[in-house]
Amino acid sequence: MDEQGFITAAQKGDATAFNQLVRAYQTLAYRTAYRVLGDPAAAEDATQDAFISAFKHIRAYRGGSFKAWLLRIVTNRCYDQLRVKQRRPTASLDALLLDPDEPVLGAERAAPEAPQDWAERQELNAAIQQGLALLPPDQRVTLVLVDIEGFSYEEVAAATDANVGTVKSRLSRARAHLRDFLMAQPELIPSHYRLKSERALSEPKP
Amino acid sequence: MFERKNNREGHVWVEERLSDYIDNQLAPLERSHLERHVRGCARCQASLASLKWAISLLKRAPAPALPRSFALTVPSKPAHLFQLNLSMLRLATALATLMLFALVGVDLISQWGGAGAPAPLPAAREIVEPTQAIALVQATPSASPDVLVAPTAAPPTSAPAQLLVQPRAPATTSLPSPAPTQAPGVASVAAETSATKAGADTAPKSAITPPAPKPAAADARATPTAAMPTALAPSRTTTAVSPTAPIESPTPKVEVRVEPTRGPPPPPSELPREMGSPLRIAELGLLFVAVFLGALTALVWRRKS
Repeated sequence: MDEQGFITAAQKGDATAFNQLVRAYQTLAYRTAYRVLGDPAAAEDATQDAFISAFKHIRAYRGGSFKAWLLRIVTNRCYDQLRVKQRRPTASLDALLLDPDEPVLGAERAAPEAPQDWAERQELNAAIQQGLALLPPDQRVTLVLVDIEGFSYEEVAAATDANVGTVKSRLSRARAHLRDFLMAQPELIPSHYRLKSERALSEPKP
Repeated sequence: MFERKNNREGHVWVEERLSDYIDNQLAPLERSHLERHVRGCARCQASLASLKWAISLLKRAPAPALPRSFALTVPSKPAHLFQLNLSMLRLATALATLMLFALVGVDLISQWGGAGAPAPLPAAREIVEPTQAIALVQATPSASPDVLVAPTAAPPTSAPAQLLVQPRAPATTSLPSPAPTQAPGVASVAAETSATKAGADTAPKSAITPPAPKPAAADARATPTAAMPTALAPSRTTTAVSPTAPIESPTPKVEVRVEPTRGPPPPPSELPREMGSPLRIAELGLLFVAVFLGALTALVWRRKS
């Protein structure tokens, strides 16, 4: 059965068919939630809530990109989580930051990598997460969906209930802010990943 | 504005468009302007390079592993059942409510009209004797359209509007008969029932013959019949119901003639009372059924949403 078949069955109440959709999209959903929230536990909650809500409202899906429809639910659950965190008196941006010392990344690669590489990737991950945490939520979601998950402008527009022009402007601002953060704290970035600024300046443009 | 490379406005203009430029979203004219500016501006070149770098870092960011499966636990069947049952429940509730209203309406009409002799009682009276009605219907040749018989499969509470064979009140002179074409059959049936009611067993046990053509109407009417009448006999003795409006006929006298006797004819005014209690029971029953179904529908609906 193809995706549309699973969707139609799920719309008739077939939870087993819906779980096929879960299997297809759960990595994307969790990754997005993780990047937006910066906290694995919160990302799990948001992802689980999102799938429960998606099944409950699956009959509201009327065509178009199912991926975008689903991610809209995911981002809404993420916003809910962010609101909850903001309400707590101890909430601060730090709560959204990863502890750089705590390894978060699972073994998503089949081949074992050298410890150095692994450590560097952890470091990079932490730096990116810190940069993302400084962004307003809508810019953060847009940046994650476009530059990390590869969504098109139209898909992001559907997932964030905005128009393409708004998506473009949020993206532009988010990219610039992240770039400014990373450039301001080069020590956070493993040398392997650093920008060779001298090269950037001297390289002749065609 | 595009020509002044070191103008602040130029830098700002370019900076705002770097992201779109990287995604190849600029119109050709804008793109060429931007490229021309960047070619000659170190600051904007650095800005473009760093922006590209930041985006590449994002793309190279390690992806977090899935901590667990997010598949939903499948409930053992209810979701699907609820989907299926909701529409059926709605239908059932609507039907029950409709039947209830019909029954009540018919009851009311009968009460208002029952006092007057000539007024035909609604066919719903027939419902009171469901088994007999069915027996009657079954005994009637199905090929006879003239005999206004309700569908055999109809449950007692349904088809109140169908005219049926009904024992009629002997006192009612106007045994309303059906339109000319229907008169014979219905009249004959009516005749039979009244004959039965009277206790007369003059009818040979035979199925009702299909109504003869009009000229022979009288003969047809004169033929009492069958099992139906006897089947009707026990319960009919105390009840009398006039046929409904459809059986209005211009020849009420014929029926009267055909009747051998009338037993103790219950006056029409007794009818509502007599027929009342089974009818009331049916109404009450339907009321409960409708309320129950409605509550169940609401429950399933709420649980589903």
